[in-house]
Amino acid sequence: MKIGIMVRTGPYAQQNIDTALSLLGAALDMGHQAALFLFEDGVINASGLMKPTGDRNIGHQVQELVSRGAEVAICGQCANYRGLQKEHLVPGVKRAGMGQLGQMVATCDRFFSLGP
Amino acid sequence: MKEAVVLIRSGPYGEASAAEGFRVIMTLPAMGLGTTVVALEDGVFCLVKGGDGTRLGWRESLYKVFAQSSDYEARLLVHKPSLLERGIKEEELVQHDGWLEEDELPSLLRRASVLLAF
Repeated sequence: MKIGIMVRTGPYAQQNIDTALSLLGAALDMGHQAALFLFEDGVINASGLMKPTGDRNIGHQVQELVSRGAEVAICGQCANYRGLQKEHLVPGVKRAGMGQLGQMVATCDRFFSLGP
Repeated sequence: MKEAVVLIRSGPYGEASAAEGFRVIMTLPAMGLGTTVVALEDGVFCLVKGGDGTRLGWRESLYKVFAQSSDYEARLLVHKPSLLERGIKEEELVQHDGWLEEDELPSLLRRASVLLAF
């Protein structure tokens, strides 16, 4: 089964990305496929510029999910609005448009959003 | 056909959720997904005719945008209890494809492979 999640909120202030990473990590553990789409403020979760002090680095956690084989994409337009350039992203994360989101949704057996 | 349900729970202005939701709604039917949009809670305000979002800097008023749902082959339903709770009359709404009663919502959500909330 392929499971997909859209995350609409950024890191640290809310727990949606933590929930998504945990669920998708568990899905991979069980042999499923995983997909993550970062939308609106959620695109910040893919930033490689985070420097949390003594805390989890969510950008690195997103990168780890990619390295485990998950498909991870961000809304390119949302990133542009927030000044997040391609070179700021953790490796392996793709910039995408609404068409790619639609394709991701269509290829997932279950897809849901986590938001504010 | 795989079923997608998009819940519009936010009002039209003050936050971007409803508008962002419509960006997603436009893409789903094109990918072969049976797409149902449900306006519920404050999301019913997105369908009230006459709001002028352009005065807030929006390119288009959102009730006009949501009225185009059928052009994208998305079915637009209104959660009737949300409408009644807010004192909105049926004739104040843009054209839509039907009502959803409270007891119909769980079965709709159960059938959906894709569930998005804005």
